[in-house]
Amino acid sequence: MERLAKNIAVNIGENLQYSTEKTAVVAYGLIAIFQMFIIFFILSIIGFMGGFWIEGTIIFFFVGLLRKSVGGAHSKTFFGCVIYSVLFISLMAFLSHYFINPNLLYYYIALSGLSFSFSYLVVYKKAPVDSPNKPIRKEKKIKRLRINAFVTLTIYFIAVAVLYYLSKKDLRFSGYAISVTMAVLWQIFMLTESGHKFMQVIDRKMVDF
Amino acid sequence: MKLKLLTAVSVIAMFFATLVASSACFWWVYQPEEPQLLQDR
Repeated sequence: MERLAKNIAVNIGENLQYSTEKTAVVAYGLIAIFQMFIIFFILSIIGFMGGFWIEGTIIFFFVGLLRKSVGGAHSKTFFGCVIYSVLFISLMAFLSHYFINPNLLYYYIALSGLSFSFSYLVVYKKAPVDSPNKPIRKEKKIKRLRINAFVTLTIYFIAVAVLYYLSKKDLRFSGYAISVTMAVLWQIFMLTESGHKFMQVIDRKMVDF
Repeated sequence: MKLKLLTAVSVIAMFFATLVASSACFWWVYQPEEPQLLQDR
């Protein structure tokens, strides 16, 4: 997929007479587009078949948006990323959809509360977490990303509170609230040492296509 | 027609690239090498 993106970018660059750097920017953008759409497309198919499309979509967007501010552990390969993303989003969405018990609503609320408390702490200590391929050096950018991270977490927290409130009328909303909580927990896990080690372990099992 | 299509694709791709450049990383768990033109944005 990366090769395809680069080939398309080279084609564009040749036709529009772009410099090498500008062509590289186009390739970079195309890889981003391909990654997002492929993951979302596969996830949608699995979600529709499994009956948890809404939960899957919630997790896909909520992790993605939070990740943009906090960074986190990375897979070494494009397809590794697609496979893990689809696998873990589907698993979390499945659990959010099928394991909701109306008698445990207050436990879910407590769990979400604890999760967010822990998340704020980890974000305060660790965010943003960069990677060798995208180092973050400027103090101004670090500060901006940290502020964005806290604002994003707070918006998610409010969303979860509203969803739990609505779940009194329709239990499905508690499933959505759990989805958001899982999305936050997953992304926070990716900021930790354990998250990085976990990604390294499963990366070793993958073959670069 | 071909040039218009390529220009449109290029604009969309560069928009996404700039969007990613101003953040901590890509959308999910993969992060390719960032072009020099976008570094430190």
